[in-house]
Amino acid sequence: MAWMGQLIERCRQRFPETVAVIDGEREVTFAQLEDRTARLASALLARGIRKGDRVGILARNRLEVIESYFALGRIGAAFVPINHTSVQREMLDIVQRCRVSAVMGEADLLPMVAEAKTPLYAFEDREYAQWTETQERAALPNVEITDLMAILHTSATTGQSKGVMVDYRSLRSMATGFLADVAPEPGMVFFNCFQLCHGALVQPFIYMVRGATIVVQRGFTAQGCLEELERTRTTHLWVVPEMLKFIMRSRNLDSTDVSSLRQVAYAAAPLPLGLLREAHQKLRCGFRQIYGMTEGGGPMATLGPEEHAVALAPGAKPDLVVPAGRVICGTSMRICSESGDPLPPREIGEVCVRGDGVMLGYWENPAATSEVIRDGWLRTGDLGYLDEAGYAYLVGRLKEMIMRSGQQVFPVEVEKVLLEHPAIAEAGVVGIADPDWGETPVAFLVVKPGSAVTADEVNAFLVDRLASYKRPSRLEFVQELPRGMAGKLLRRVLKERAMERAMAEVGA
Amino acid sequence: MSTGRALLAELIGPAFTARLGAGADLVRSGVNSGDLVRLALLLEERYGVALSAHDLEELRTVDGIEALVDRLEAGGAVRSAADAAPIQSD
Repeated sequence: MAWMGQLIERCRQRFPETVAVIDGEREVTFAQLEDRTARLASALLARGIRKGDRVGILARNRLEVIESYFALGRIGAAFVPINHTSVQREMLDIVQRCRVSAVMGEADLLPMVAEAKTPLYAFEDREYAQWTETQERAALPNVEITDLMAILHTSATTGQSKGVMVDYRSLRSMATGFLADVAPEPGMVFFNCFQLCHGALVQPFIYMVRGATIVVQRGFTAQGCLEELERTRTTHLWVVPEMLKFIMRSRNLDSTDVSSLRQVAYAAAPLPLGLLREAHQKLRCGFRQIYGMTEGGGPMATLGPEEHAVALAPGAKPDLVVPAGRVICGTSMRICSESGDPLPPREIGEVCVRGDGVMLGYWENPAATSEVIRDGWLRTGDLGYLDEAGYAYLVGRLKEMIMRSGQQVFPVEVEKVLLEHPAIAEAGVVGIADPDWGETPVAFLVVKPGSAVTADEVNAFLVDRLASYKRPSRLEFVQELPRGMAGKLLRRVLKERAMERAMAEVGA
Repeated sequence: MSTGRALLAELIGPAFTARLGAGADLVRSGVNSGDLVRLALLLEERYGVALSAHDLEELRTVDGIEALVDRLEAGGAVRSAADAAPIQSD
């Protein structure tokens, strides 16, 4: 058995009575989780799921998602998480492109993919309960460390999502490297607020190696998170910075017992200094930044609690730049010029990483793969520099990507959908800073001569065509878009205009 | 527009809000779940109360929002921020 099977068997041996997963009122120990996932794997085998197959998972965060990832890992079938906030056509595209053998998920979501005519298995069904409780345990196939573990979808520069293929070796490498450097203590209760369909899903599986209890909730709210944090005596909270911002705003914060909290771990965006200091003062815990990327297999570099001390020191300058961290054991990082040559410390270039955690490639997309993996180095698309001690500082992005509360939005994808509207001739999308989401997309539109369309009509058009987090927060109608000599859209100019308009509104 | 719809409209715009059916699931109708997170915080700020996770279960539909707003306006929140005392911890 490869990493997932080894992991759950090892946890059964070492921490049998430790609670593995808390999902509301439901708790399972590691011994129970090992048994349930072995039975579930056996049931899936009996239904024709084979090593090398791909199975879609369409659900909000819940125990059954974790069970399914383990069970499929014990067969050697790849799990293909489908973001439950996607629109139907995005979901069907994943199901069909990956040619999944089945989709497992929540009963209210599965109808969204019924059109694909693959077998659908609902977690709420009696049958699923039987699979995990009474199905006879069968012999499970040998799974190799180099077998495909998962296909994780990310948004795409070209307008279509890409499936990141990761093998079990990737997760093993991320886990052993991270744990070697971070050495987390026993007795952790790890509250996973990220969606389990997001690349950040590897983090709870890494902490499980140390017998951590994983807490999941259907969806994030500040109030629900605080209640559950107190109830489960959470020690580690895994969030995007925007979630922390909402927690700080909730009126429940002052009356919630957060004394169990040892650490807030955050990723997907930097933590603004003011928020870091406010959270430190109110939560009285340490902070860990994780710099990761789905294509990189998970956490590539990290900045630990002691390393946040400079930012938390009294008198720290408000414009202090906090590094993203140093590479974890087993990962290499370098800064490259446009031509791919490594640059010396303190010179800005593209951050590139290498190691066993890096993806195998994009599913059935060798062209896209060769654009991001060059000579074995993964090009992250982030601009930054390393200092002499190896700390990475991120200063910008090469790719035109908008990060809205930890989720990637690519302008080209949004523009493609806007151009599907019969009245729209041209569309230009850029990101602007947003106090709640970090960044949001803003669209500039040119209407076809003789046509007419309102912002409301465009918004209504987008509802069924784009996941909500990708939809522009505002639409601006213009006579023309700024273009360069060869007709290329000048996004920098658009961005300046968008920011000017936003600032004018604030000043009005 | 009702108070509940008006508050939602502050976050997602009046036109989108007006199109939402009273009993339709908001997230399945295209409302971003993050906007419901903000709505919960907006309700806390406007009514000066701390809402519980149980209260927030009503925020799945417009009808649910309006029912919660009615309760808040009648002073019937599960917990009031003014009443709650900080829990002493070691």
